[in-house]
Amino acid sequence: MGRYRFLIFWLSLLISCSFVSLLTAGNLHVGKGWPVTAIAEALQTANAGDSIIVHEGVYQEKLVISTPVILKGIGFPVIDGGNQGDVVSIFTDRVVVEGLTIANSGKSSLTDYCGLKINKGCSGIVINDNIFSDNSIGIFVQDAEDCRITNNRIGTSIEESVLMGNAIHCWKCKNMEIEGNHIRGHRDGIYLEFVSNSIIRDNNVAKCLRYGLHFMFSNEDDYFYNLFSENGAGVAVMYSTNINMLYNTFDNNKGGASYGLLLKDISQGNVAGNKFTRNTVGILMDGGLSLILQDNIFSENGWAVRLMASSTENRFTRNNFLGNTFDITTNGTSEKNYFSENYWDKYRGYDLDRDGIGDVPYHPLSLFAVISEYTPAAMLFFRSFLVDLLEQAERVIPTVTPSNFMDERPAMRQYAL
Amino acid sequence: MNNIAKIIFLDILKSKITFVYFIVLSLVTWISFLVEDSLSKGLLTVAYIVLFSVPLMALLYSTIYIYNSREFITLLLSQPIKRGTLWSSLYLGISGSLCLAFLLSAGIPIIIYSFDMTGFLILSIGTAITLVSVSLSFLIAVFTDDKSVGIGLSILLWMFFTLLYDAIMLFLLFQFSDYPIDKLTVLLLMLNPIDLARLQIMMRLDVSAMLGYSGAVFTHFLGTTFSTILSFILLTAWIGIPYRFSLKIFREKDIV
Repeated sequence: MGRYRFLIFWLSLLISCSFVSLLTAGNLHVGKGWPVTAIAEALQTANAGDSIIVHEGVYQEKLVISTPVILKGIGFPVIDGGNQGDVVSIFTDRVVVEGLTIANSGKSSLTDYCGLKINKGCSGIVINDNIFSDNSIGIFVQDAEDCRITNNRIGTSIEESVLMGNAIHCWKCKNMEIEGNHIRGHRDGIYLEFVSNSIIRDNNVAKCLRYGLHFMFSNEDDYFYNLFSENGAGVAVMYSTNINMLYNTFDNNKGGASYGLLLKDISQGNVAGNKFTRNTVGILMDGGLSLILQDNIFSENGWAVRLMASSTENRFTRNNFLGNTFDITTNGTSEKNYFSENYWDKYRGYDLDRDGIGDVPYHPLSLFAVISEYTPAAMLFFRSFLVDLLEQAERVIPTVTPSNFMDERPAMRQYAL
Repeated sequence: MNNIAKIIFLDILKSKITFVYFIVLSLVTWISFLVEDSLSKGLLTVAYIVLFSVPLMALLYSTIYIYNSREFITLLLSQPIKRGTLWSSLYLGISGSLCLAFLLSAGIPIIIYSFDMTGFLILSIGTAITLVSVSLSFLIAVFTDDKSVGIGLSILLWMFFTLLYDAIMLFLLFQFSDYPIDKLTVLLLMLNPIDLARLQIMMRLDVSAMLGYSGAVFTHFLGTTFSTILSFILLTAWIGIPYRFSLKIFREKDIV
């Protein structure tokens, strides 16, 4: 019993000590009318665990954070980098940056300057509820782990593409959580290179010059409930495996080289529950392997799915294809992709046994989709009577379109998704 | 002039064929809106019908009408009326009644279902195509005195504009596909009033796809105000020039 009492004594001492240390973690106030007027000064005197409260105002300084502190703004004080170098750099773990406006990083076509940089080896950083404006790169995370980047508003007025960087740029990271950010007008909205086991959710990315979201060599990531609209080229997922893409909306990505979602050399992913609306190309799949695409809605796209010949073993099931100019197009005669139980609004078959599945297979590949794949200018003749006649003839006797490119069990009714 | 136009206008409106045209066109338009599950598909079907049936009806009907009213025209010519006035009031009467029949039949469902720029575009295109067809049939009617040749010519002309022209262009496109002939193709297509109308409708209803294909040709050319003005000028030319020619021939003719 005595031994236990001894243990309890030490435990309680330990707990009370840690409470004391929490209580003594001080609040440092920075701002006009407070003893400290520069944030850099406060950062030098702060101990680990301190909170630095920054009051409203404009601070013309660049911050280097090398003690684990909580940097919190009241009324979004502006940290102005004066168009030179990085505005905020973090070199240590467990830093919280919250409620600041971080503006005007350096702008260069040679060096990547950024609004906030999380440097090599840091972990447990939280970047929450900040405003980033006119930075070359908004947030740059370099070789870090377990960081949360949440609820930031990131935008820029830079227009020259050589000076423009990505809004959130992660390189070689693990366990990142990028959530609820609002991104406008950067080069890529969210750029991930060698990033694994991360979650990207509820972001709203629009009007980026290039991609809304860009994966390179990043495996085992999930992104869901994001909205990507009016980006130069949509969303690109390249050279990655095991990516789950769920419940996102890809809207209004239009242009000569635009698509809602580009899947380039990726394998074993899930694309489910997404909405692809009004894109020039809904999904462009080039070198996709064993992907599962189900419960998606494709509506009012130019081409719902462009399946390049290098894509194999992909399964399209229970998707709705509504009001697209072309449902599917391909440049090969691929037979190794499976379509089953999709709803095609162009399907004209019947269902005698009333099981909800059409009795005649549907060929989603139209003659004109194939022709315009080889001679794009033929699009000029689309919806003319001549083309319509050719289309009917092709339907009766398929010569150009591969005859086994079909959905054997087309759904009669639209899925409620 | 107005009197003659009014007589012809009412005469055509009272005819059975115009009535059938009115009924069929309105039925088809209503049905395509009711049956298709989305508005844009309904609009596409209606646009199809307009581009197909309106020129056929206008071309054939007005050619036949002019041939049939030869005696009436001869009678009027014996009165102190200028030949030019008679011809223009004939044009006004025929085109006015056909346009009215079109607007009343297709117009009402289109306005009810799609009261926006697209609906308005389809209606104005239908009207313009009616005017173009009537102009062409006037030219055919003065070109040959033989009724059967005239009717044959009008059917041939309709076939040419809806099918043959596209076939020739598509053939040329494939033959010369190694050369940058996109812009030329667009220009040549715009010379055909039916293709011109089709391209305008496509620009509205298939925007996503149109922006895809070498976006340059479409957006930088067809989507600009320049092309809208060009389309307008071309359509006006298609209405004006055949009519002017027919007027010239009619003036120099002996009786009819």
